[in-house]
Amino acid sequence: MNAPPTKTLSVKDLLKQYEQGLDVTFPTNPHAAYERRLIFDHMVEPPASTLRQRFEALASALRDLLAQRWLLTSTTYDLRSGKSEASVLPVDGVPARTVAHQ
Amino acid sequence: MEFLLGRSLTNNLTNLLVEPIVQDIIQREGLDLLQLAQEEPDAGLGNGGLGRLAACFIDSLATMQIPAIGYGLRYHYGIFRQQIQNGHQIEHPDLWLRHPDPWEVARPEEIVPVKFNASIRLENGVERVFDNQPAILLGTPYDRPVIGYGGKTINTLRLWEASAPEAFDFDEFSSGDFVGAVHQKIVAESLTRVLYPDDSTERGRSLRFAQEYFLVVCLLADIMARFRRRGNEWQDLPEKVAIQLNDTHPAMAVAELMRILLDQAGLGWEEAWDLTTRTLAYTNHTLLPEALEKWPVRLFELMVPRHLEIIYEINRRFLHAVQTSFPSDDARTARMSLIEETPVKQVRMAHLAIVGSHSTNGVAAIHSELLRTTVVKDFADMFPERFNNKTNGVTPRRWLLLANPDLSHLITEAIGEGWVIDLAKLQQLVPFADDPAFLSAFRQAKRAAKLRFADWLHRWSGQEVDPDSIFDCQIKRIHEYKRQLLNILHIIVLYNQLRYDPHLEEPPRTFFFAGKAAPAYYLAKLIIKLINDVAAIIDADPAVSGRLKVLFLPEYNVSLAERLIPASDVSEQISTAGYEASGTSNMKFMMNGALTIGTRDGATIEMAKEAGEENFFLFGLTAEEVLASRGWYNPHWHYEHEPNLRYALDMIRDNAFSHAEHGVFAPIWDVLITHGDHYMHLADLSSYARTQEKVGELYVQPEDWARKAILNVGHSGKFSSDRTIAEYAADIWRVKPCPVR
Repeated sequence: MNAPPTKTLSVKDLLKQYEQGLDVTFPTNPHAAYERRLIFDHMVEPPASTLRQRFEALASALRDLLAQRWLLTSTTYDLRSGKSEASVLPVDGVPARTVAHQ
Repeated sequence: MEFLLGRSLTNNLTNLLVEPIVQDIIQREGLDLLQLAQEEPDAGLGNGGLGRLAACFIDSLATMQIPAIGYGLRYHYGIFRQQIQNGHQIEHPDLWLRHPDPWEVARPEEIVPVKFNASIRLENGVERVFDNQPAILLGTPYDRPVIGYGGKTINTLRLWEASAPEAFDFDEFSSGDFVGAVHQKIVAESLTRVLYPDDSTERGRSLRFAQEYFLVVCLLADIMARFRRRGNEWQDLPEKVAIQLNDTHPAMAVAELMRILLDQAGLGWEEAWDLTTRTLAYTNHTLLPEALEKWPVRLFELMVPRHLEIIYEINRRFLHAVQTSFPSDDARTARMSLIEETPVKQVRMAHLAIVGSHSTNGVAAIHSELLRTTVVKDFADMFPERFNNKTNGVTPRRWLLLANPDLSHLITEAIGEGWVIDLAKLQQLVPFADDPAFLSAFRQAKRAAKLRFADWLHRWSGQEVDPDSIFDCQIKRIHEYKRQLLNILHIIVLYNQLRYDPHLEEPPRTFFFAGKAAPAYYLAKLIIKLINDVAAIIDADPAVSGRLKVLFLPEYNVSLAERLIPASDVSEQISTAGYEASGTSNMKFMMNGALTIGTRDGATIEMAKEAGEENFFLFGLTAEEVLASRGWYNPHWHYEHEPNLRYALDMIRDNAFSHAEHGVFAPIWDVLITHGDHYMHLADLSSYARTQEKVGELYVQPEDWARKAILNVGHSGKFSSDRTIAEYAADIWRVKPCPVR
């Protein structure tokens, strides 16, 4: 069993992959995630921010980027493992056994 | 229970494939990504290979789109921060959570209560344990994203933190007992404060026991809640859930799962036992008998009496089965019992894990074989179908793609990018080993990695290393069986040869050591001291200047390994044969084009088989020879008959490396000579030294060296953790990928 193939995606395709209904607006405008995180989480003008604040802003922006994909992963597992409290999508018959690695 | 994660920022950027986007921010804001990355603490929630293996596994699980959750504890203090003072290891607390962790998400709505049957309270200013006075702790989960390569699947690592139900006792606070009022909170939070509390004291051992129980209760409550929420019936448990016990630390899961199925689900014993054993599987990680956990029965009685009751019943039924299979073999029955009937009765956690699961695996072929034939032979006789091997692997995303950009780029240019998720494709590099252009490019990539490391080292510590010298590395926990002592003994022998023969033709060598010794492991700490003191003497000796250098790099962690491994020429895997379960740094070195000098131990055997022994520097006793010579081995013989060895040992004894601390290394002399040299350093030294000579001879033939290194990279595909996880998934968990659209 190998991991599925991946290919180099365009920025547009990548954002589409991570946007599951909510706009990510990640890299390109004044309201972009990095600046938002820096200003709204740390209440600091970007030029005056510390390295640590910049790291946190970048990491938080990445977490914002992946958040909807993370949720979708959980929902997918719920749906494909039988009944779900949010059983909106049909079960497609993939036998999903959850592995807990301690 | 342990996850040695390292830093996440650059790894997550790589796996999300968004580095080009982030570079846009980096350029626009005038940031330095490497500087930013260094702001993240190196999450050291593990001691060594076992914890790093778990981190590689969850990367592979997500990349392969397998539905999985990793469970561990949210230690506030990871493995200690190591400083070297006057050659000695000094331990400092590593508060990795000093700043908010931007990756994690607290889930207070999913708190799990954990019941202990004893309480700790202050009485007249002194802490006392109160038997039969139940206490409740709360487990709060914190989730971290585990991003599969390509960003399609994002699994979860769930770490649990302990807290008290109430922040403080208002009555005590009102009566003026301010310390007593917050005492419960302090005691509760201490449970997940520190990784592996020092278990040389009773108090530390008790805390460790409580940690293991706490984790097991939290994760099983979590798994069962999810399992039931999805509408499953109890009988479906083994079909829907697979739980892999990473060593014996979570082995109490056997008793806890039985308790849930008996007391909460109301199932009968037979059915509960069937479901438990079909759900759980166990990985053994060590052949060292002293590392197989045992917990005093008294601790169970005090904290978790219901679990002890269940363990006793498991044991009663199990021993009946043993007696039925092997009648009149009382010795076997005693050996296999879950309870060790020593003056202090103890529960044998490995036995509990084997009996309570459907699979027991070792982590390399030789390890699994020795497990079956020596360590737990009685169990393999009784349950042969349960024993199997799953050779370890490491994730190529972190350890090659991210850690070694020059080599990664070269490989992708040659064979395409498919190797990142299918490392077997590296086999396509083999024909390039005879391509002059590729050989040249490969050597340039290695040199770039060495220059990058040398530059970083200079900026970090002010130390200079010669990138044209052989970078010879032994980086791993400091332990007698891993034989850092053998390495430093050889260095002393080489030092003497260079001093007394200035014209000796030897390529310059830089020996790197890095690793932490357990705080209570006196001899391991003394080995660190010896390495540092030998390094200082060599450094100060102009007779070997530019020809020989030794460095002990403090504070070994994932980030340091990511820097050093790509730059390494030689990988030291020199454990006493039969003692290293697998090793995983050996695999990281191999896929980064280092040549291995090693014994036939752990996964090194399989690595040499893949690449061909002619492309490895193997030496020393085999595991069979170590066992066979155990009865008559005499280190004095080597001392008497090997002058180079004798001179090196005499230098240690006569304070050549300890002018200011006479006698400090006497325990090392005692271990090697007086007490019989259990790990057989002296038996292997001459063979090791001869093999090191061959290393030197090849290094001065750069084309031949590069050819072997390329063949090593090309044959390292087996050692991807993707392959390991595929085997676990197919053979043990019976789980298939669950793609996210």
